[in-house]
Amino acid sequence: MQPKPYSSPYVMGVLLGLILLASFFITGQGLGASGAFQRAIVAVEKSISPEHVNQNSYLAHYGGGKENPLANYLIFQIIGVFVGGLISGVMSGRFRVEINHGPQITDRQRWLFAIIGGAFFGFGSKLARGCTSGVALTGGASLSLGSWATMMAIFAGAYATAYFVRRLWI
Amino acid sequence: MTEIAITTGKHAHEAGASIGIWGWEIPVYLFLGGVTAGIMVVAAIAILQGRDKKWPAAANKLILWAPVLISAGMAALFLDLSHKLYVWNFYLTFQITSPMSWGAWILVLVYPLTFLLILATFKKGYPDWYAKGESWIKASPLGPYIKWLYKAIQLAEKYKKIIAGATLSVGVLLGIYTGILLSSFGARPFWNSAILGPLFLISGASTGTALVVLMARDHGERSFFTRADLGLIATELFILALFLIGLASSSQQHIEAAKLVLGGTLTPAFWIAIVFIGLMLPAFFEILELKGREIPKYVPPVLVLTGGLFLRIVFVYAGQVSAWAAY
Repeated sequence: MQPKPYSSPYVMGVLLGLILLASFFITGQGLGASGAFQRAIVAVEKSISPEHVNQNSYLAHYGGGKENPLANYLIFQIIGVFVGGLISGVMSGRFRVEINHGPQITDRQRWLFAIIGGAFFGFGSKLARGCTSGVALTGGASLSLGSWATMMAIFAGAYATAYFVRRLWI
Repeated sequence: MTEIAITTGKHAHEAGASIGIWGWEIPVYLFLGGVTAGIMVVAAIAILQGRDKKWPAAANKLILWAPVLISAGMAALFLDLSHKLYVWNFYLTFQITSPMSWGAWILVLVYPLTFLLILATFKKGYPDWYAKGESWIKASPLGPYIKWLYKAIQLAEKYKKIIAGATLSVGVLLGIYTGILLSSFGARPFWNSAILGPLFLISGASTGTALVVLMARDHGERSFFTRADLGLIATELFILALFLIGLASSSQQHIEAAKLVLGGTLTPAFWIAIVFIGLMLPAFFEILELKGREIPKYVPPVLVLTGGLFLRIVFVYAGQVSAWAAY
């Protein structure tokens, strides 16, 4: 089966905004990604050392004591993202194992840089109290000043560093 | 006023801490036991129907995985035992009213029956492995005794259908037992439903069928077992509905147990992991596949297998949370 062409990013952008609206309407909360991973990490830490999670107020906030770190809307939203991606990939004939990278690097290098970049972004998102979904999209939609500042900073950071890592993609 | 004092073991110090007494081991064991039951049932039916040409994976390849998976499951079960050195005591007695005793003996029957079926089908199912194994044995010190192996294979092939009949019965017993093991424990209202036996049997058969779909290369075989799996998923959904109706129309404790998955803490796990990801999503993909759409062949069966594991995890956990007395 030939993969179906990708949908128009403009139409999908509008749809994403409507999904955000629906999320506010149905659950009373916006969208988020890094929060779910944060909670998954706290759950792993808690299974290894509950005392550590309880004693660290930052971690305890996400699931100290009897609270289950995974009992949160964001976790289910991320499961939905994976399942939705699966359905979309299967329906459009695009479901396969693949590693996308530029012509000049290997699969291994792509993994390495993805992990380094992901770690930077994860760290940054914790400093900014959220990532592109939680802060830029959700906070931006409610016209929060901090969210707009974060969004500008994300774009500025990307433009500022893209030149130096261009060999990874071209 | 009449005052009734009730004293239970739950009043003991830290009784609550021991409620999660079964961790990952029992759900994994029940899942692998269920898959093995499914394999035995599906392979036996394929052999009894003489479909080894039409359904080569089901009739010749599938059964090899029964002893492998049941051994992995029993290893998980063994890890859960508190007194590991006394495990052999199971085999000094047979207690007709104890599902654990039934289970212990059923598990013993699984091995000889599946080994005999493997003897009868291995050459056809895995010709390359057979040739390699044969030349390896011939070159080893066991070489002169290979004629005994040929003799055993010949006998197993001759009585293949009789062995398959016995395998079918034991497979059904194994599948039902994995559910009855939980349902016979009356102290946990969530488990206290006789329909758990058929539910776990059907789920096991569905996962066994999913394995055939994973293994099958022949398009006709895959589409037949995809259709069969769709029927099993529909049956499983129907039994799950009956299970919930049964609980919700019983005593107050059973109603409270049903509430765990009808608005309570386990509602998302039950509806998202079991019903949506494990049953409805693979059914949706299977329907599309049967309608001629190209679906990656391993997606629906992997979802079915994942759903089977989730079913055991949620049921084992929910049972341990549910109780007759609030505390």
